[in-house]
Amino acid sequence: MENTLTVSHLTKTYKDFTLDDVSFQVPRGSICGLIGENGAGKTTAISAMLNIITPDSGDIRILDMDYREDEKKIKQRVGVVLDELNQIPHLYCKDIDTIMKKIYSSWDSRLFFQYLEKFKLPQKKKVKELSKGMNVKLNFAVALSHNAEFLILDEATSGLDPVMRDDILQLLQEFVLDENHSVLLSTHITSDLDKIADYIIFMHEGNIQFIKSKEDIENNYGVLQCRNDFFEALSPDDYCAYIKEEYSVKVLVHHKQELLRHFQDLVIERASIEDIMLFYIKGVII
Amino acid sequence: MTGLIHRDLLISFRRLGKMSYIMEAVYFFFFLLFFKNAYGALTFFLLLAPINMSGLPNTMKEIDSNYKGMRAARLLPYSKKDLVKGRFLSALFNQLFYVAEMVLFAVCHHFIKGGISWVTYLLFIAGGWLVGIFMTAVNLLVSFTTGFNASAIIYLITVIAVGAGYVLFLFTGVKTGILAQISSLNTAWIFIIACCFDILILLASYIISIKCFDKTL
Repeated sequence: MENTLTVSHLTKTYKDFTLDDVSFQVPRGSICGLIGENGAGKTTAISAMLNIITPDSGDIRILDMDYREDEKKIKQRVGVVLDELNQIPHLYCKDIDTIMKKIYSSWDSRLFFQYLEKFKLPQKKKVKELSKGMNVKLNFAVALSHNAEFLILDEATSGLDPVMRDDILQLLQEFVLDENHSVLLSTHITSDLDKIADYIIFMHEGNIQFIKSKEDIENNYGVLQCRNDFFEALSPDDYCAYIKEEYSVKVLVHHKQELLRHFQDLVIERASIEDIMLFYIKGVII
Repeated sequence: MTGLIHRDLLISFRRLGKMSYIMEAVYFFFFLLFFKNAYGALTFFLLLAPINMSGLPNTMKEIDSNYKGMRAARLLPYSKKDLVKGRFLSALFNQLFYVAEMVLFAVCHHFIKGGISWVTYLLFIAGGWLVGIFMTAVNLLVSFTTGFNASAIIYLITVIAVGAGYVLFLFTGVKTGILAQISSLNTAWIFIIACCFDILILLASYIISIKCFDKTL
């Protein structure tokens, strides 16, 4: 499958944090969720992709181009929404069109004003007069109005109410209806990824813990709550992580169907992305 | 590049707001109508206009520091070098507005007051612009090499230094028969030397700014 983004052996060392030999891909036409606790390295990885920081080693290819040599070409075709990075507050919404049409070769003013209308953003209002949610919507309008093929979103929906988040998620789903479009969505709100992601990349302490398709997670992963004696009876091959509680054990299984064939009375709950993330961070990994 | 220049100019224009331009008009008419002798014109051309025309780097530094303006610019399809170049060009393009204002002032002053030749007006405008370019070059350099507070302080220092230089200029020997003296000086050489000095400062400022900016963000 063709990849929109290929990150290979990306390493960046700071005094108190290392992004350690990170490699992953975003397949064309997919929505990839990048998850991990605060400080896991998600924003560092995204900053490297955008050439905002210089990695110590590693290679990044976006839309089949080198992220450093072809930075300008790449950024013409990539839309970016970063947390807390809004448009300049003194500008009017309509000013953004005036500026961007001189910056992006494929800027579509008509589309931009359509988004403003769709998001109910007044053209003659200053950015500083917009609410947080409206600012996020304006950022999305900008990111989507230059015919971007790849969206990079870093905590772009954080702080939004569920209704607005749902609107944005719908927008992303519409965006990937074009099979040449892809999205990398870094977020803490894993429930959003449960709804729309095709792949999940889980980062923990500067490393990639796993990369899985959501289909794989839905079909094969499950959470089993069992007594200690039952847990002892299980083979370590049956599960991938567990959390011991006072009187029971919570087990993350990764061959749900196989286990259900052996133990037909077992109740294995669906494992959400948040469950898996918690197991990998708080639990014992096999 | 036009996109970056447009961005900086529009942001600066919106940031300064109407009040700033009203004050500009007030100063313009004050020096034109109420303080209309030769010193009024001198003050407008050599002090007020250069200070006003060199404000963009500081305004943009404030936007960069307080509203992550430069971080937002890094997401745009430009290299780091382009961003520095764009800021320098914006600052220089911004000066054209003030040069036009000086020309307008000279024309109005000539018809209202008279007594100053067109050549002298031209020398005033060129002198003011050269001072403005020097101040802009210094402030651009500072905006790329220091933080917002240091940048604001150094901008203030350049304003005070230019003000002090102007006062010294008025209250030293040059004061007597100032217009005659300016006309009789070998102005061509003075301006060639001043232009070379400005170009050197501007180039040095540009090269150092690119090197410093490359290490940040």
